[in-house]
Amino acid sequence: MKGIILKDLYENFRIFKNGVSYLAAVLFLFLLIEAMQTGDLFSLKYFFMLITAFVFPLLGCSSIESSLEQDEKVNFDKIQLTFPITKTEIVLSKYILGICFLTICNVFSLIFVFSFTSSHNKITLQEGLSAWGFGVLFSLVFFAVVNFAFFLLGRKLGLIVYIFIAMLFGGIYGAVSSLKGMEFLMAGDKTMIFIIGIPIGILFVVISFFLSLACYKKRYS
Amino acid sequence: MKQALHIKNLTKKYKDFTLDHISLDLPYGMILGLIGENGSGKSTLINSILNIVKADYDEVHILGQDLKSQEKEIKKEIAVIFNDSHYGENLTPLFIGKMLSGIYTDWDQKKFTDYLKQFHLPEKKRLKTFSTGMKVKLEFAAALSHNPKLLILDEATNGLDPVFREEILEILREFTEQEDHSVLISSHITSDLDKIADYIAYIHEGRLLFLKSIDELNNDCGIIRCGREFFDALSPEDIIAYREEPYSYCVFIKNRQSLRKAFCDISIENASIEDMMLFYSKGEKII
Repeated sequence: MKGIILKDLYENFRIFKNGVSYLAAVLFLFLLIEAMQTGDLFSLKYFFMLITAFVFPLLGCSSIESSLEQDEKVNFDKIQLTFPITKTEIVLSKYILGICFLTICNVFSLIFVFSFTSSHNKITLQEGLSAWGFGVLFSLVFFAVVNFAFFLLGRKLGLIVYIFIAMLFGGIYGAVSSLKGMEFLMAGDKTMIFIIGIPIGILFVVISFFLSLACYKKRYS
Repeated sequence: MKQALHIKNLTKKYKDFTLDHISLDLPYGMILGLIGENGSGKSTLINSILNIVKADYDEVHILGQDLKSQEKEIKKEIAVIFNDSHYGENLTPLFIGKMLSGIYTDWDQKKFTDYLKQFHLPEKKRLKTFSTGMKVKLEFAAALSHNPKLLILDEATNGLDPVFREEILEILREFTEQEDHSVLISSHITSDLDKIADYIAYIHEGRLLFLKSIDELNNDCGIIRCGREFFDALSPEDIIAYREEPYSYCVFIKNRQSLRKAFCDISIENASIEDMMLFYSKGEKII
């Protein structure tokens, strides 16, 4: 499994266009942070939540797409299935790398929350942590759905699902924040939502893994 | 004798093709050449024993281990080379070595770099700059660097120049000098199999037509070129297939020794593997 994870990491960062994509995403993030600081309070909270709960998680769910693109180009599965690794380990290696990416992005998101709330008094730590909690929840569900879509549909159609779901969540966020306001999303104690929601999110990932494994086994049967 | 590869009643069904009840054995230390027309089922057989596709079978034992329960252990000791490279084009040989060292516990990085030098492959260049031949050479370098006991080649030498093919045949000969090393090679280049194979298995339309040793084939079979009169004098039981030519018959015969005793002055030529394939697939049969 170590070798496969190493290969996927290499393909995510050592291929020029993939490396450039990640850099572009980070640049976009910085631009959003700049835009956030120049607007009014609604814009500040809107962009803060967008970055914490949405952009960071989206970044964290993209590892499988880069490696799948390379694998499909050369039919890497054909040689991979001759290696002494089981189909379970092959699928697990994709999920492990994805969860590592996700964790790193959520950690960066948390660092962003702490640094922003401590340097600006317009968003409290509680509001920041609520946004971050939504981000963790969203990242787990999005990761679960998108990974399964990639295994079921392949890279091209999986990418369409990725973009569609990202736009769907973005649309829902936009609608809720406009209709109900940012207070609805950020204020108040959200602890219960996270206590129930995050285990459900983890369950989604586990179910997604087993569904992806079933797809992979069926493809090579 | 213990078998490096033991297959019993392997069947794989597709919508319009069936690999039908294949049974074969490959003893340790031997090279088995798998021949057959395009679409005959050679790759399906190889994919089935590697569990790349699920097939039905009574028994598949590789290196004495059961494929159903010990697949991972088996794959530690086998190496497979296909006719084109399946490593990503942005990878370098050096990185492929690092990747495979994380997959195979017996990976020998020094052996791998030695093979890269022997095959004149640049360590740090991306595979997209490699020719087809260079990619196959890399596959061989990778395959031989984790001390496998069984090599499986699925038309791996098809795109190679004759000089490198000869180098590969020499490597395969050396490989099988060790008693517990064996090779299964599927190839259209039957001249290579003539040089190297100990056994030949011929798959035709999903069925195993024969599995014989090269010695058996050479001792038992041959080609007679004769006229109509002599052809009529041959017993149908001695004729595998024949070709009618403008002024003669070209007959692929068995029971070579008894025919030689019966007809002392006839000339019986050795049949190459290509001849056998052509006669079996295109020759006329005595009904």
